[in-house]
Amino acid sequence: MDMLLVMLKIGMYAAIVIGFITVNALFLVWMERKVSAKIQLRHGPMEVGWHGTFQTFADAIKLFGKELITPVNIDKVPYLLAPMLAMFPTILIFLVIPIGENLHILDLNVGVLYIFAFSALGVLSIFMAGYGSNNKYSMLGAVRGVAQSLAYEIPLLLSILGVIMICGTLNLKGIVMAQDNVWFVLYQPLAFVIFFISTLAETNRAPFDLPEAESEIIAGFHTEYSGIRFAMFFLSEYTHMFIVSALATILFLGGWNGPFLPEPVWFLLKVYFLIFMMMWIRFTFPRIRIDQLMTLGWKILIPLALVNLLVTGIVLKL
Amino acid sequence: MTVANFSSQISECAPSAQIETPDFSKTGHHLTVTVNRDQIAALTQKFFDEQFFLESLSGVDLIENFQVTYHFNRFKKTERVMVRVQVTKEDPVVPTVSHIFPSANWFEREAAEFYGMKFKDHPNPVRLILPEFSTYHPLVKGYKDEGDSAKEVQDLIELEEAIQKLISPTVGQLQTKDYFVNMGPQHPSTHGLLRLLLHMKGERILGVDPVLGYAHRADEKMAEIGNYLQFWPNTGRIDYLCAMLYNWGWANVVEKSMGIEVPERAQHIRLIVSELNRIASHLLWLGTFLLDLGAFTPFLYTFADREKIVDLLEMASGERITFVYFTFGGVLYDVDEQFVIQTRAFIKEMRDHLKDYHKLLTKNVILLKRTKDVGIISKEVARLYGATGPVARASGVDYDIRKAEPLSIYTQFEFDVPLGENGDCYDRYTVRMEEMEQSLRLVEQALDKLPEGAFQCKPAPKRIKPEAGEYYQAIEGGRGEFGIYLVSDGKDKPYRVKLRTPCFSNLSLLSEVSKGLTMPDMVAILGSLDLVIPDIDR
Repeated sequence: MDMLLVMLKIGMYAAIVIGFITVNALFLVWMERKVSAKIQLRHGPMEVGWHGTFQTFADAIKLFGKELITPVNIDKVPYLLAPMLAMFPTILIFLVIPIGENLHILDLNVGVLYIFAFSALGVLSIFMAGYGSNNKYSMLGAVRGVAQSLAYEIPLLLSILGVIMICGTLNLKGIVMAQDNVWFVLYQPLAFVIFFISTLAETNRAPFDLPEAESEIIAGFHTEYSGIRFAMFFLSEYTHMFIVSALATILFLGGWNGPFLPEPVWFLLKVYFLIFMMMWIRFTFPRIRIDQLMTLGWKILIPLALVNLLVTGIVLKL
Repeated sequence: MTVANFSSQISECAPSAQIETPDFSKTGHHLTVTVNRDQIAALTQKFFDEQFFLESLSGVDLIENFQVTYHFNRFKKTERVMVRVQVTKEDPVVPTVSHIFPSANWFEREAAEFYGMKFKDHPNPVRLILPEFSTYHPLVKGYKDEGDSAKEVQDLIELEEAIQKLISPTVGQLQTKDYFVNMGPQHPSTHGLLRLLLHMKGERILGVDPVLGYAHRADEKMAEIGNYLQFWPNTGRIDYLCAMLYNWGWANVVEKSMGIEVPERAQHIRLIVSELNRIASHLLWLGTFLLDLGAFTPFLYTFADREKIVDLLEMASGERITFVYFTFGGVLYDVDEQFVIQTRAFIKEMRDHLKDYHKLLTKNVILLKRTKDVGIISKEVARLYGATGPVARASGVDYDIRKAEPLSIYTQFEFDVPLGENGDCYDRYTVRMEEMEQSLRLVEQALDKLPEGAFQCKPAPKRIKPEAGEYYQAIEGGRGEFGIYLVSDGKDKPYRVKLRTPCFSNLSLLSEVSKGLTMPDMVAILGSLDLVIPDIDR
C-alpha cells in the first residue's frame, strides 16, 4: 500500500511538472509573438481563440503531427539522444523551484547547486545535436554553443556567490526568507546585471543566440531536426528561460515576497516580467559577433564578477 | 587633363590606334579608339595610370569578326573612352587585362563564355554564369539551342556523383582541418540564388569564391530577339527593387541615340517616381541588412514605410514592383493631383521615420561593433574592381552619375552626394541613410516645380530605330552605375545590348575584402553590399 502511495505521488508530481512545463512553453510562445508584434507595430496571432490564445496549441499539434526526417550519414546515438537530453534536465530542475513558501516539490538544502549542475547539462545536448547531424552549419553551431557556455557559466556562478555569502545558505527557500525586508538586488546590483547578461547567453537568447543564428548558420545545431524532436529543443529553450528567470527572482528579487497579492502570483509576476525583458531585448538589438561575445565574457564579465565578490567579502568582514 | 587632348598620349602607347571623337550627348562616348589586340594591354595600363576605371567590357559578334569593347571612365566627372579590339573568328584570342584591372576578370570570363573568345593569360578561365562544363556560346549570332547532348548530361551526372563522394564526410572521419562550406544557393543571407563557396578554418574565412548563374535569364539575348519596345519588361526585372531607375536607363539610351525630346512634365514625373523607387530600395536594404545582423524589428518598420511608396508608385503606374512605366519620350500615364498630395504627406512622414531609424540604430552599440572596421573597401580597391554607387561612395569615391553625368533634369535641383571615409560596413550604412534624405529632397523640389503640360512627346515616336552605331548611357541605379551599351545596326531590333550592372562589379570585390574575417562578418558585408541576384546574373 505504501509503495502504491509513493508511486501515486511520483506520478502526480511528474504530471504537475510536465503539465506546467507544457502550458508555460505554450504561453511563452504566445507571449513572445504578442510582445514582438506590439514592438513591431503588428497584431500578432488573432484568429484562434481570444487574441490568438490557442494559436500555439494549434501550432503544437501541427508540430507533433509532422514527419520525422532523419538525414543520411548521421551519428545515430547522439543525434537521437540530444532532444531527450535537452528536455530531461529542465524537468528535474523544476522539482526544486519554490513558487511559494510551501509550494514546492523538493526542498533541498543545496538547491542552488542542484540547479546549476543540471542546467550545465544543456550544452551537452547542443553539442550532441550538432555533432550527430552531419552538417557543417550544425557543427559550427555546436562549437559555438560549447565555447559560449564555457565563457558564461563562470560569471554566472561568480555573480551568485555574493548572494550566497550574504545569506549563508544554498537552500532556495532560505535565500528567499533572507530577503524578507530588502531584496538582494539592492545589495548586489552589479551581480544582478552580470547574472542577467550571463543568463541571456546561457539560454541562447538574442543578442547572444549564436548557436542558432539563423542568418549566419541557419538555425545551427537544430537545423536537421523536425517534428517532435525539434519541438523538444523548442520546449526546453522556453522552459530554460522560465528557470533562469525564476532563479533570478529567487536570488535577487525576493522570490514570492510582496504585499497584498498571494505568494505564487508575486513570484510568477516577477518571473514573467524578467522574461518580458528578455523578449524586449531580443527585438531591439542586433546579434553580437562570436569573438565579441567571448571578449565580453572572459575579459569583462568575469573580472567584474570577481571584483564584486571581493568587495562583498570585504564589506561582510567589516 | 581632359579627354580631348588625351588622344595624343593614346597614339603614343598604341601607334596603330584610330581615334574618333563622336558626339557625346548622342553616343555617350568622348573618344572612341580602335586598336590592335597586341596593344590593348599597354593602352589599358595607360588608362590605369591616368586614374580611369574599367566601366564595362563586352563582347560583340560582328558576323565576320568578334569585337571586344572596353569602356573606361573617370570618377567625379564623366570622361568616357570606348576602346574596340577586333579579332577574327578563326583566332579569337585577346590578351587579358585582368592583371591591371581585376574587374576585368569576371567581365572577360563572361565574354569568353558567351562568345567563345579566349583571353590569353587569364588567371581563371572557367565559365562564370553558364554551367561550368557547357560547350555552347549563346550570344553568337545564329546560335540555336539544341539542348544538352546525352553525353554532356552523363558527364555532369558522373561529376556530381564524384563531388558528392568527395564532400560528404562519413562518421568517424571527422578531422581538425580547414573545410569548405556552401553558403547558398539557399541561404537566408544571400537574398536569392547566390552561392558562395567559403573556404574556412573554424569561424575564420580563408577564401571566398562566388558561384553565379542561378538566376541567369539571358536578358541580353532576349534584347536581341525582340524589338526595342519588347525589352521594356526586362528592364524592370533586372534589378527588381529599383525597376523605375532601370526603366529610365533603357529610355535614356534609346532616346539619346534617336534624339527624342522628353517634355518637362514627363522628366519631372520620371525623377519623382525614380527617386521614390530609390528610397523604397534603400528601405528594403535597411531592413534586410539589419535582419542579417540579427535585428528583426527594423525589417518590419522599413517594410511598412516601403509599402507606402509602393502604393504611391501603384497610383502612378498601376504596378507594384516590376514597373514598366516609362516609354520612349515620356511616361505611360500622367500623375494626378491626389498623387502629388499623398507624396507630399509621405515625405513629411518619412522624415520623421528616418529620425526614428537613426535613434534606434545609428548609435546602437552592437550595430557599431558589428559594422565598424568590418569589410573595409579602400578607394583604390573600389577603382580596381569598378565598384560604384553607395558602395564606392562609402569608400570616399565621389562618383554619382546624377552629378558626374547628369540627365538634364538633375541639374535643376539641389542635392548632396554623401561620402564615407573608411569604406567599412558602417560607412555604407550611413551613406545609404543619408541618400534617402537626399532623395526626399529631390522629390520635394520636383513636386514643387512640377509643370503642366504633356507627359509624352508629341507625336509619339512610332518607329524605334536608332541609327547604326554604338551607344553607352548610364544612370545611377539604387546600387550603382547601371550602364547600357547598345549596338544598333539601324534595324528595328537591337543588335547587341550589354547590361553593365552595379551588383556584378560590386560583388567581384568580395574575395578581396573578406579574407581573415569571420562568418558573421561575411554576412554583414554581403548585407552592406546590397546585392540583387538577377542584377548580377541578368
